Amino acid sequence: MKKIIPAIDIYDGNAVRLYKGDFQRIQSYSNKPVELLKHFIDHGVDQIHIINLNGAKSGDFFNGANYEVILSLIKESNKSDCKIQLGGGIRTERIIKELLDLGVYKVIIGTIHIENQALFKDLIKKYKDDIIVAIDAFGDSLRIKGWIKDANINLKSHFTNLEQKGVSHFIITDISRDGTLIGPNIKLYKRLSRIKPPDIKIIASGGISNINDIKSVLHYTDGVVVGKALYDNKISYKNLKDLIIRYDPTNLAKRIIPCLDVKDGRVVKGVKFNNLQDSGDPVELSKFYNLQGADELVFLDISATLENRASMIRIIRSIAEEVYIPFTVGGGIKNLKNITNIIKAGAEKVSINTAAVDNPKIITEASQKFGSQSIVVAIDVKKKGKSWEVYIKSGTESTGLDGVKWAKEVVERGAGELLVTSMDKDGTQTGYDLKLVNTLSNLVSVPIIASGGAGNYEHFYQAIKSGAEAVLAASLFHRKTIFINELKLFLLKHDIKVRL
Amino acid sequence: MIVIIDYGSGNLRSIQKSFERFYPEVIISKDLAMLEKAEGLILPGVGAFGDAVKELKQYGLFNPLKTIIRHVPTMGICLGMQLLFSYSEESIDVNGLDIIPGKVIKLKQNDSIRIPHTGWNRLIPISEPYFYSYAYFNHSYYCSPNEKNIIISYVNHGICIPVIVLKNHIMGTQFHPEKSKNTGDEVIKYFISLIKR
Repeated sequence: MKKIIPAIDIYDGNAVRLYKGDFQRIQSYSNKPVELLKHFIDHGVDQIHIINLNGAKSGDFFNGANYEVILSLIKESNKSDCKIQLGGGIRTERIIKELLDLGVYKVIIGTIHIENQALFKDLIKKYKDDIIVAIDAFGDSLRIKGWIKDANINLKSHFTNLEQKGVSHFIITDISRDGTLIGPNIKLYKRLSRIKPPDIKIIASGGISNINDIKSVLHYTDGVVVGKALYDNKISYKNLKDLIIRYDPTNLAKRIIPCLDVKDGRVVKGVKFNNLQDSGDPVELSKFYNLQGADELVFLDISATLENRASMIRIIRSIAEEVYIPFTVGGGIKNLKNITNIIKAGAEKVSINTAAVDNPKIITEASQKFGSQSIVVAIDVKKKGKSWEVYIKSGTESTGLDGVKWAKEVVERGAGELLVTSMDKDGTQTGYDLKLVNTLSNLVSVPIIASGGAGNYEHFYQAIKSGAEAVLAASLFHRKTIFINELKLFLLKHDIKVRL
Repeated sequence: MIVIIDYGSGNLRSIQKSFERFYPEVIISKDLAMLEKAEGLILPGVGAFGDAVKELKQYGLFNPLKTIIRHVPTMGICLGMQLLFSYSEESIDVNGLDIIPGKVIKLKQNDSIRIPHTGWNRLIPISEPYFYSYAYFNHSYYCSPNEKNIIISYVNHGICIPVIVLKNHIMGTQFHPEKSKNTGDEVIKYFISLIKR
C-alpha cells in the first residue's frame, strides 16, 4: 500500500501554493478549502496533507485567519474517514495533543526536531506513532521555519540520527523543486531508500508534475504528496483516482472478531463482564461487542444436546433481529439442512469443521447453494514436525490430514473463508502462529481468519502483516484485557485499515 | 407501506426493523396483492443467483415483479440488487429481472486482494446523493450496469466495484444497509425519500 496524498496549504484561510517555499511567490487557488477537501474525498482520496502556512511562518499555530478553517477541515475529514496529516507551526505538546484529540491522524513537526532536542525526544517517546517528522531539504542541507532559515546540517546523517531516536515516519521535501513542476529529486529518495529499515516510512514531496513522477518516486518511497500538479490540472482527478487504486488496491478494513462459545443457550468460557456478571446471554454480549466496534462475531455452538442445538436457532434469530452485527455460526453442523436453518435464521455465514472432514462434499454443495461467501471452513491444527496436522471434534481427534493440503482442498471445493486455529498457540497469549497464517495466506486466495494465541496489540498487528484478513480472539476480549476500540486505534496508527 | 419481498431468502426481520425506524409501515410478504399495493419494495437476497430466480418463479413473483418495479420505488439489497440486472455469470442458464440493463460479473482475485469480498469497505461516492464511510459486504459477484451514469458509488477492491446504483425510483446496494450502521441508515432514509416524492 502506497499513498498518494493531495496537499492543501492554507494561508490566511485560503488554499494556496508557494513557489520553492517562497512566501513572496504565493498563488491562491481557492477561498473554500473545505470544498476542495470534499472534492478530493469524492475522488477516493483517503489521506490529505494540510499545512498551516501562517503557523509555519510565524511559529504560532494560531496565527492569522487559519485556525477556524483548519478546524472545519478536520471536521469534514472526520465525517468521511479521510485521514489528515497536519503541520505548520506545531511546536508544543499541548497543540499536538489537542489536534490528535480532534481526530487528526498524524501531526507533522519540523522546527522543533532541530531547535528543541529535549522536547523533541520527549514527544517522540510519547507520540511515536502520531508524529511525522518533516525534513525540508534544499539540495543537501536542511531548512526549517517555513523554509526561511538554512539549518546547515547534512541531510543523510540527520535522517539516520532521527531514525535512531525512534522516528518512524518522515516527509522529505526538496524545496528547491517544490511548486516548480520540474520533477521530484529521485536521486535523493533512492539514496534514502537504501539506508532506511523497512518499517520506516518515507513520504516524498516536492516537484511532482505528472503521473510518471508519481510512479517513479513511489518506486523508492511509501507515499507522495501532490500539490501544484493537481491544482494546475497536470494530473486530473480521474488520474488521481486511478493512481490511488493502483497503489492501494483495496479499502477493505481488516476485521476484529470476538468468538463466543455457546453452550445450552449461554455463552461460556472465560466471560467475565463486570456489568453482565450473571448474564452470559449471547444477545446481550453481541450488543456489547457491537458497541465496542467488533466487525463481525463468531458463535460456536457447543451444546450438549440436540434440543439445545435447536434452541440455538432461536438465539441466532434474536441476534439478527436485535443486534445489527454480521455474524458466523459454527459447531455441530452436519448437513445442508442445518446450514439452511442457520442462514435462514439470520447468520451471514456458517462455519463447518468436523463435517467437512467427514464428508468434504458438503463444502461443494453448500457453496453452490448459498454461495462461497456464506461458507467458512474452520481448520484446527497442531504442529507436527515441520507441518501441521488437522484435528476435529473440538480438537479431540487427530485426522492424519496435512493442514496445508486440507486448506487447499476446501478452497477448491468452494469454501469462501478459512478460520484457522493453532491449537499449540490457543490460550497461550504468546501470539498467533505467524508461519501458519503466512503459509496459508500465500497458498489460497480466500480471506483467512487467524485464531489462537493473541495476547497483546502487537500480536494482532503481526497476524495481519502475515496475511490474515481478520483476527479472532475470545478470552482476551471477554476478560477485557483488550478493548476492541483501543486495539483498532493501535492498528490504525500502524497503517492497518480498520473501521472506526 | 413498504413491502419486503419474502421468497424464502434469509431472515428479513433485521431489514424490516432497520426500515421501521424511519417509516411507519413495513411488512414482509410474498402476497402479490400486497406487492401491488406497496408504495415501496425491498428485494432482499442471500445465496446464489440461480437459486433466487428459481424461488421467485416458484412463488409466482418473477414476472409480476418485472412490471411492478417499473412504477414502484424499489431497493435491491446484495443479491437482490443483482437480480435487478439482465443476467449473472454465476448462473448463466437463467435471466435476471432485467430492469437495469447490464450483467453481474465474478470478482477476479489478484495478488493484492482476496475473494469473496467480505467485510467493511469504504464507499467512494461519485455523484449525488453522496454516501460516505464504511459499509458491510459479503459477495463474490458484482453488478456492471450498461449505463455508467446510474452508478453513484464505488468501492475499491482490486477494481472499482459499483456498489450503489440509482435509476429514477430504482436503487440497488451491493452491501447490506441493515448491517452497515450509520452509512446504511443514510441509504435507507434516502430510499424512503424516493417513496415520499
